[in-house]
Amino acid sequence: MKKLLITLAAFLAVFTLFGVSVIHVEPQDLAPGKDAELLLEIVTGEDEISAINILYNVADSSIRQRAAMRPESEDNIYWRGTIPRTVVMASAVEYRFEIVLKSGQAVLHPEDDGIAKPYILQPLAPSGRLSRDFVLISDEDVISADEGYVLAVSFFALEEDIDISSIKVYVDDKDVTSQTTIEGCFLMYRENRPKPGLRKAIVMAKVKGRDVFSETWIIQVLPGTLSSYIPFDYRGSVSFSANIYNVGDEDLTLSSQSFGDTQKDFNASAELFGTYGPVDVETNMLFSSLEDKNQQPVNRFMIGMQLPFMKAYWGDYAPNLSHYTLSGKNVRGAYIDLHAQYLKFILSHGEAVRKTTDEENMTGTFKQESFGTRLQFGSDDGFRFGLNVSRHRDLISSLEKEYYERVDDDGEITYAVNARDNAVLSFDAQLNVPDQNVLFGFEMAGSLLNANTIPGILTDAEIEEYFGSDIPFTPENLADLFVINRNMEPFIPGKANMAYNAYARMFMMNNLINVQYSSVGPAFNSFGSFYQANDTKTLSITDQITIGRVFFLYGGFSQTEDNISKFNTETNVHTNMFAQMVLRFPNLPYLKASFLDNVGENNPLDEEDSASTDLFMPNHQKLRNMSFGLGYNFKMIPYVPTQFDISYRMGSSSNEQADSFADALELKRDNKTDGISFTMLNRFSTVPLKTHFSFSNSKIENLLDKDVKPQKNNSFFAKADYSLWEDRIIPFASYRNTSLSAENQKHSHSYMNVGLESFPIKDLSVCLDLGRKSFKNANDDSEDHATTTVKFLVTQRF
Amino acid sequence: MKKHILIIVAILILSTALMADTVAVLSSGKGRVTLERKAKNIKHKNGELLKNQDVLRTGAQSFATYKYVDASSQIKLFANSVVTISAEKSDGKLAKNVRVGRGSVYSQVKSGSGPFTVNTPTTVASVKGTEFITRVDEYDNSQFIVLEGEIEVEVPDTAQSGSIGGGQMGTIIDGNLVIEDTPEGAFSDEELDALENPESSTMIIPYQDESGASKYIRITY
Repeated sequence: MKKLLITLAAFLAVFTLFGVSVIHVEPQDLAPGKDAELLLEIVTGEDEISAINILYNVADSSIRQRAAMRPESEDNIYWRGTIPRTVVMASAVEYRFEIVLKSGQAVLHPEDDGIAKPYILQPLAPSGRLSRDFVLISDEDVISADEGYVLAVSFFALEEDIDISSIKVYVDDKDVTSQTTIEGCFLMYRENRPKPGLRKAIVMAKVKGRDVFSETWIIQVLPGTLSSYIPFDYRGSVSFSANIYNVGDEDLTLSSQSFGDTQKDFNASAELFGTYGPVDVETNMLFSSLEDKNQQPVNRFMIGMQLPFMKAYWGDYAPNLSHYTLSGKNVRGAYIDLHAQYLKFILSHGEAVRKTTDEENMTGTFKQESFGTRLQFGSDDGFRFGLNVSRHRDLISSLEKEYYERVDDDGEITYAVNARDNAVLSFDAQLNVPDQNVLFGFEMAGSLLNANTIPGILTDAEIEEYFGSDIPFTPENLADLFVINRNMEPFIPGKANMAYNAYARMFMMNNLINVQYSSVGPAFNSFGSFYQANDTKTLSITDQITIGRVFFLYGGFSQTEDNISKFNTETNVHTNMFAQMVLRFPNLPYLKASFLDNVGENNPLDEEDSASTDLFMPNHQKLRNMSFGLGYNFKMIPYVPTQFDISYRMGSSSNEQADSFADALELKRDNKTDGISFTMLNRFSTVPLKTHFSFSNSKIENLLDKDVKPQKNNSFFAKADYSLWEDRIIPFASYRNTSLSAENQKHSHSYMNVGLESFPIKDLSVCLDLGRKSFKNANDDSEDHATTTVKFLVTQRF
Repeated sequence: MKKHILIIVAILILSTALMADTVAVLSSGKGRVTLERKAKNIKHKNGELLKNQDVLRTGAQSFATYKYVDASSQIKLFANSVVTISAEKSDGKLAKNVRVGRGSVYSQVKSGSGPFTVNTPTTVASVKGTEFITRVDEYDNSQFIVLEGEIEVEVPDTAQSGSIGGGQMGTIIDGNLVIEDTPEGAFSDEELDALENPESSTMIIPYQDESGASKYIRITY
């Protein structure tokens, strides 16, 4: 198992922390030349999600691409995305979901840890019937690369009935129709210096409106005597989008969260993945009109290269050194990774935060420099250990003094904003036994934080005051590495600024078992990784059972406890149990179910100590959710095959509190929730019409006060699109309504969109969307407003 | 008058279009092989599309093979041969014609695949599913050796005609057609080589040697 193993937080721990869990049922039906539609259901934590992308690649290819998914409605329960038809060829496609949380952290499902396998799309036989009227004329079984690869096919017997424009030629994993000469009843594809190996080819077309395909022809290409031509294999896309908003009520101040600070925005983006022999290149860029030099960057650019022994990136990149040093946060700079079989060296340097100024308040943010390095010995397929260092420094010189320093009338200096230094040193080790599918590892880290480096390093007088004697080092000599002064937290490093993480993963008898324990001290800080719950320890155990593609069961337990330093007088403990199940027999509806139980309670540090119990107020919380659902692809419904998915959810949340340790707990909140979600996709067979309906309804009832009107959330979505000229133009119309009603609250959003998707030439899509959004607040008319939006998107894939 | 001119122009355009149609593909070649189209030499390689009235020539120690687009016939030109290729669609099938100007040409034709005729300077032969060799010497004398099937030969100048069956040879000298059993030694070494190994099959087995380099075992049978 020669994959890089990334020491990320366990999938479960992240999702437990943010309460996000998902269910995905792989599509059973797939055919080359058709888009693959993927549906992802968010069971819990839909509010934490900012975006979801599909990361996919053809099996055995290193080129990975990204396709954005779209939520079906405002409640973010169902997300849909497609893998383009140009990718879904005769070979399998692997994919994972990249779930981007609102904190900026991105996690993969399934996790890319070298053990959890990605989802795989296995295409079935081409749609239609086999036709022996495609006759291979170039019928050599074996050729030399010097001769070139020629695919010459005659379809003389089909000449009268075949739709020439529907002919598709696939060689290996690529649609090569655009490079194929089609004349009369004959087609020919040629490669001048093909790579040695097996080549397989297939032709598909429509004959009298019905799909037909040829047999698959296999030829062997032997190495030639001439120097081989290495093709540049590439994929990518270029997009341009424009969004124009017109607010109906000019007096209404819209939040920048909804529309940004401008009434229109434009974006241009491009990405390219290429392979040339052993070299992989990758570049992507995003230019947005929302970019503001005085805000954190919106624009992105990156260029990278991979060789068998090296990876290098310049631009915006999210390095991963270790979980506690640099882990997934964007750095704009340079990154280099040099690796051999038993040695690896990584260096990352750049800007983590941009300098900004706030003229109104005369404050700002310092430019933050990020540096990280990793030295690793050993092999990812055996035993390895590594040393990691990261340092983040706010550069005082990046901001003028008037933006951060205040001098009062007495001459006392205060700071409107502090410049900080953060350094983390960690050691990690891992043992991987691929033959046994077992992996163990741990990481131990210590951090230093200086909450304000502006006053400078410790003076001699301060050294005398704090230490009483000379110290074995000179702060001035270390100033370039870390500023030591009285603002360090803690002043003297110890157990409080340490963090530990240990994990074990194994796969046996269809069980993927994951055990993880982590402990973070109260003063541990790492600017290079995402939020670590300080003064907390977490234990999580998960198990995933997969039996073929029929049965999937995923469950686990986790417990989080804070106050491990015993500095506080009370300790909070959260216990979480969850399970998900999918049962799918071929040609039958699939069943799914999930369960989540979360209990949180606080306890005094010492029940015998009055210092702990005097001010203690017990607080217990419970959250329980269950959902059941089923889905099916009704192919047998005449004229309109239908895919549908329905889920019913129910749950409860309660909170018990007491005014003191001695008092009995009293139920303060007891809510019951239930709801139903439904999505249906219809593809009409007699007309090129596709309709899509989605509905969700949820109710939150206060069981303590039946007089309070339950809160109801409803969401409805309907869309229809009609395909013209063989999918070249697809006009669509959609309507969406989201409403909330509760005690003293009743409002709704309605969206009406009409538009056009056009595919004028191969891999080019143009989309125009006119939308009207209206908001109505039944309790306050002054908030009613309507907006018109125009969205334009052009994407060219290649 | 204008109407006649328009008709003529239309016919010419149509003819040109038909003539420009792809009728065959050059599947293999070795040595000196030239392709002539509208009196111009065309640069070509294996897989080249052949149009109506294309002329294919082979030099010494050379050969070329082409197949018609209906995948029904394979024609092999031996050394020092000249052939003009043509075909047209007729009743849903491709009516194929090979005009052998000089040299020796081996033809393999599937039965039921449409009319197939071979022209030499002095004869016309109609073929119905057979394997045969056509020869034309420098004096425009023609010879047909049929290995399998049957061909009908006609000598337009003398109105002579005859049927040549499998294992027979027909020779036309000065307009006279003589049909006899194919004698021993009738085939040249080059022709024998092609006839005795007409369709060899090859199996390739990849393996890795001790150093891990990829190697292949090639078995021809």
